[in-house]
Amino acid sequence: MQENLRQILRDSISKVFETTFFLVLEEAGDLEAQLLGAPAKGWYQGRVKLSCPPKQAVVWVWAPPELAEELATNMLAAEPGELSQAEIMDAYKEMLNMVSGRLLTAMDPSGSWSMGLPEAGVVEAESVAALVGVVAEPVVLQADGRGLICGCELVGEE
Amino acid sequence: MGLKVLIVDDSAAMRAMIKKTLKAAGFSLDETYEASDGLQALEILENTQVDVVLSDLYMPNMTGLQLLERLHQEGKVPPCFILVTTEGRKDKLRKALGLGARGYVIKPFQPEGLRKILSLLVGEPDARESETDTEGLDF
Repeated sequence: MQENLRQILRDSISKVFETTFFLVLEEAGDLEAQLLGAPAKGWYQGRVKLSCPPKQAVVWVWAPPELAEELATNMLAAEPGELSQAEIMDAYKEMLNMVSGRLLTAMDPSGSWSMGLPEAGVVEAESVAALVGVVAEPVVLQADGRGLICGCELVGEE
Repeated sequence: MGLKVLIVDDSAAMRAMIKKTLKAAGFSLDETYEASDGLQALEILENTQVDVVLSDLYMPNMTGLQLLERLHQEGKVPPCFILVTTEGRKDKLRKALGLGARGYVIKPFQPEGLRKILSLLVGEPDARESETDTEGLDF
């Protein structure tokens, strides 16, 4: 992923987290190696497809379940444990929607690209590194020690 | 007398957040209706007169733009139709404004952004403070 695109993605997700979820994202630093080697049991995986025929790209965001739950509780001013998985997933998809929209606005002001609807699910993988392997150069961040990984990949022609 | 507001968004969390923001800003809500896409919104608007529509653009089944096109064709765009959307590209927003949307708020939004634009358009709760930094208006 080009460094410019990585920076736009980093800025986009940071703004969304601060404004809607009241969480400050920072570089993962020393946490990155530990995070990538950890099992990805119950992690949330989300993606949004971007399209500008014949080009296509996908925005990915992965988060551990405790962070996904915190997003939803913060957004809805709920108590921990109060929300259903469906409500957590709904908030996670809205986060994806906002991140992708902000990314597109920054990288494509002329409006050539279109954005699909967010898709998300709970996954399990041997390691977080295996999970995020679809992205060549993931952006690894943290919110108070909890990892968050995102990336944007051009996936070729439709 | 309070406002009758229709909130159209495929995310229940976002609908709840918008509703909470309106209440926190001091708007008196007489009735709040919710729709998860443009089709549901049309059904509600066929039977109900609302003061304000706050609508997302990107939704399944019928997008916010398709909803506006339909209402525009029928001459039934509510007087205060505001987009609350992740779409920040001017060309896309201009199209919606051309169909009768009165303004827009870009997600992620600060509660103040929503309060200001709504204050300008419906006059509550305090229109005197709402003349600067409004996200986007079309009169």
